[in-house]
Formats: sequence, C-alpha cells, structure tokens
Amino acid sequence: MSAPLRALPLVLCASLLAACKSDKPLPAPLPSASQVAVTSAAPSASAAPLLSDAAGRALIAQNCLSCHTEEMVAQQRLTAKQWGNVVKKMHGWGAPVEPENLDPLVAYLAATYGLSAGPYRVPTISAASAAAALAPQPDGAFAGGNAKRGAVSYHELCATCHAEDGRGAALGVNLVDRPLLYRAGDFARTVRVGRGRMPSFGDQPVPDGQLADVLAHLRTLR
Amino acid sequence: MIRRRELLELGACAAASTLVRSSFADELLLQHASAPQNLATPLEFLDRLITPTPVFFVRSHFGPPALDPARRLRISGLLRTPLELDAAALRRFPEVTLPAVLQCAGNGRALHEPRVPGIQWIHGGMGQATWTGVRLADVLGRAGLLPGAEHVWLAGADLPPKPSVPRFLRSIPLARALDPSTLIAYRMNGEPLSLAHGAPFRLVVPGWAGDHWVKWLNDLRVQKDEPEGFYYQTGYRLPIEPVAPGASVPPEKTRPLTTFPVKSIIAQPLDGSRKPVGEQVIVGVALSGEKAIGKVEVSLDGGATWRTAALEGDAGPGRWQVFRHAFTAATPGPKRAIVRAYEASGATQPEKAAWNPSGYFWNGWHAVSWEVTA
Repeated sequence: MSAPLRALPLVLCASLLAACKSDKPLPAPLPSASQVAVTSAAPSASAAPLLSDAAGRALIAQNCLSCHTEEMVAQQRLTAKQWGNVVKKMHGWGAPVEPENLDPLVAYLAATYGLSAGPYRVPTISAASAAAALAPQPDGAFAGGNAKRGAVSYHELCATCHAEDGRGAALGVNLVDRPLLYRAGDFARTVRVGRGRMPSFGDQPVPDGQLADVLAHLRTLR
Repeated sequence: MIRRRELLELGACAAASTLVRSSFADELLLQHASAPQNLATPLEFLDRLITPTPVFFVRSHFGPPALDPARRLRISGLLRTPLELDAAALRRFPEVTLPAVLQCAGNGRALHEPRVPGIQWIHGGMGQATWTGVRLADVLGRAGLLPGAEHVWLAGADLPPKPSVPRFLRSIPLARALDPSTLIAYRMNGEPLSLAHGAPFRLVVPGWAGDHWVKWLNDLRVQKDEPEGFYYQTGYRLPIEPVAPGASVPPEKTRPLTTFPVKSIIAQPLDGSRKPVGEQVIVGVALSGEKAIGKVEVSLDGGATWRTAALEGDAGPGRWQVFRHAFTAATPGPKRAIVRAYEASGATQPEKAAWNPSGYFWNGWHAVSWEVTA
C-alpha cells in the first residue's frame, strides 16, 4: 500500500457532511473564562468541572458537528437540566461522547448556551447561496472514477466507520444517496480537511483518482 | 407578469424559473442551520398571498437525498393492488392545483417561555404557495383499499445520519388521506419542486403542520395501526390538557399534533423601524389550519380598542389571507400595533400562546413597535 493510501483510512473513517463550509469557531455569547484545560467546579447539577472554551468547543466539534452545524447548538438557550436531556437523547441516538465526557459537555453547554447567555442573532444567507449549497457541481478532477476499484478502496478504507452498506455506524455518518456525492469538490475537501471526528489530512495528498473511484462506488449504493 | 405566465403556459419552465430565481437571488433568509438546511422566510415577505419559492422557508431533519428525478413512490400495505409510481405514472391521474400554507409545527418556538430545545424559529417557519399534483385519494382508489385500512404511514428517501437515529416517519389517518385537498405534489408555485422542497414528490396536507408534508416521499403504507418510533410516539405531540409552563408531560397525556391554530403576524412595519409622518400601513397575514379566517383586528393603544383590518385573498382553512390597516400619524413619536385574528366561527388567538414541552404552535398576539419621524 502506498503512503497516500495508508493515510486514507484515518480520513475516510470520520464523518462526512453535506456542506462543510467553514471551520469557524462557535460563537461564544459568554466571555471565555480561561484557556486552562480545567478551571473551576461548575455550579451545575452535574457538578462537573467547567471546561475551558477550547476544550468545550472541541467536545462539541467531536460529538455534535458530524450531524449538526454549529448554529444548531449556538441558538439554544437552555438550563443545565434541559441540556442534560438533549445530550442524553443524542447520546442514545449515537453521538459518540465518551462516558467521562458526558457531564463536562453538559456543564459547558449550560454555561455557554444557558439562559443568561445574551440574545442570539440569527445569521442570514442569500436565496442564491442557499440554492447553490444543494446544487450538483461538475466532477472536475474527480470525474471518471471506477466504481469497482472504488468498492475495493471503500471496503478497505472507509467501511470500518461508515459501515459496509455506507449507512453509517458508531463514528461515521451515512454516505448513501446524499447530495454531497454530486458535489465532488466538497466531497474531496471534506475528506481532506475533516470534520467532527474526522482529522485533517495534514501534508499527505489524497490522490484525486482514488477519491473519484470511491465517489463512483458511493453513487451506486442505495 | 403576463409575460411570465405566458412562458409557463407555453411550458418554457426553464426560462421562467431563471427569471423568478434571479429576481430574489439577493434576498436574505434566516439561516437557523446551514446543514441540514433550516432556513426561515424573511419576515417582510409575510405581506403577500404567495411566498416566492426562493425565499420560502426550508425545514430539514436529516437533509435531502440526492436529486433523483427517477425516484419512485411505493404504495403498499392494506391494498388490493400495491403500486410503484414514477413521475410519468403519477401524472396520469387528474392534476389539481391549490394554494395552501406550509407551516412548521415549531414556528415561533423561540417565543415560548420558558425556552425549549429545537430550531429557534421566530415567525419565518411558514409560507404560502400553490401546490400542483394529484389527489392521494385518487391514487389510493386505484390501488383499492382493503378492510382494516385506517392509517397511512409516510416516509421519504432522506436517511438518518446513522442507523442508530430513528427514521423520520409520519402518519395521517385514512380520512385525512382521502380528503380531496391532500395531494402528492410535484410542482410548487408553478415550477417543478426543488430538492430543498422535496423533489420529485412531497405530500401536501393543507391545514396540517409541516411534519405531515413529507418531502422526497417514496414510501407510503396503508396500515391498521399508527406507527411506532420516536417521530410519532415522542415527537410532534401536544399535551391533551393545558399544562403549566415548564411542566413535564408524560407520553400518555399527549396526542399527535395535526392542524395549526389561528394566528396573525405583522410583516410591515418591521419592529424597530422608522417611518416618516403621514400614512402608516400595517400589513401581514392571518391563517388557521382549522377554519377560514373571519376577521383581523389591529390595536394601536395596547389592546384597549380594536379596529377591523381589510382582508385580501380567498378565505379557507389551511390558507392565509393578507390583512391591511392604514392610518395617519400626524406627529412624530413611538407607535405600537398589536394584531389578532378570528376564525369565521368566532374563535380567536390567545394573548399568550399555550406553552408545551416541544414549543409547537406559538400563536400569541404579535406586536411591533416603530418610530414615526418628522
């Protein structure tokens, strides 16, 4: 296996989302207390230590942003009890939060997006950009993939996280019948940059031809 | 306008859609979530009978499947002849076009106190469009209902992000499925449905909340019983009896939500805006999923006295009418207007909406404040 091929599992293992447009940090309505990893005990129901802003955002990115974009979290204004119920529901549905991170995540959410957080300003998007976000794009450098080769690559590199049938598993999300499969540039960027639990690819390039093959295979799945 | 209509009648849909889209391209929707898309109609567009498709709100649980015009609709269950229809087969049934309001059950969630989790819609989780398609009753008639048929389960092609997440599955009672206004639609405002709005097919259930208007509809099952699963047994339910704000409600004290209640929303003036002295025009929409609107009243003195607004558009359950009230402000100063709508039967909206644990169906009195300037 070549070096770029060996690097693929790490990348493809993580979740892919239809639109991975930005790595913007989550808006923080409360001033961040400290950059120290653990600062002080939070006066929350869970009594978990309050995470630093960086650590809290990292937990949100790893456990929420495979399926949601950040606005979904940032627009909420909920009590610690309500956040506890939300996290419990999402954990039950497969959010990959480690057990020891459940209470700290709830405490961070309640402290950052609680009732005392300031008003939330809803962002806007133009009608043209909203339509363009779902529209198919030309395949460009990722045209002409071979689905048979792609099936082999998918089996070796992706199936552990996304499941053999492509419908997602503990870490990877569903890849079947998604608009992202017809937006090859976005697909490639998601694979190379990462999202949620998906690490960024770093220095090693993912070959265009192999991405094209995997894409061709994914388009055959139903 | 005439030219656009001629184009549509000639079947030059591509040219027409380019015209329509370009004229609203720069309008700003509220982006409650970017992926999956949850976008709200701008408030100032709730001033007209038909909401232009480019600014029409979008609600998604899991996001759309890929665009696939060849997608088929399977119709199975308690039927003599199960069917599998593509777009061409569907169009052999008589075609129907009707106007109807599509409104998310959670529209206004951000206005409930105490706050509840979910998309924090303000007013823009709704719009009115014309919907073109075929009657579900005609399709079920062709398939032939068998004894015991009582519920119609509805599912779309959108897959959850993981198998551990429940499918988005809804259901309507057979009587609602057979209502002549219930459509399998393939056009919205005269153009083919876009992917965001359910292409190639979505259900249209006028008067009922948007969760029943299943997009990317590909699986319809006629059954004896209601479905099981989160989106039917836990989600989209209301308390049977009124509850205290913040109360937790056990599942056996809830029922599936259906029709949206009467309400009215002011589109103009916008809250916090400034208008010069002279004529002040208050415009908005009034709607009910249950009954036709009978009357809309506006108060300019905090609810002490009310004036009847003029109504435009045809009255009917599940559609909205535009209300308009004009008055002259001779001197500068702050103004505040409150609006409330009545159904033809006399029922009206409450000053404060009934709180419920999921924040559905906010329909309190809407008030706006603006400044009249010299």
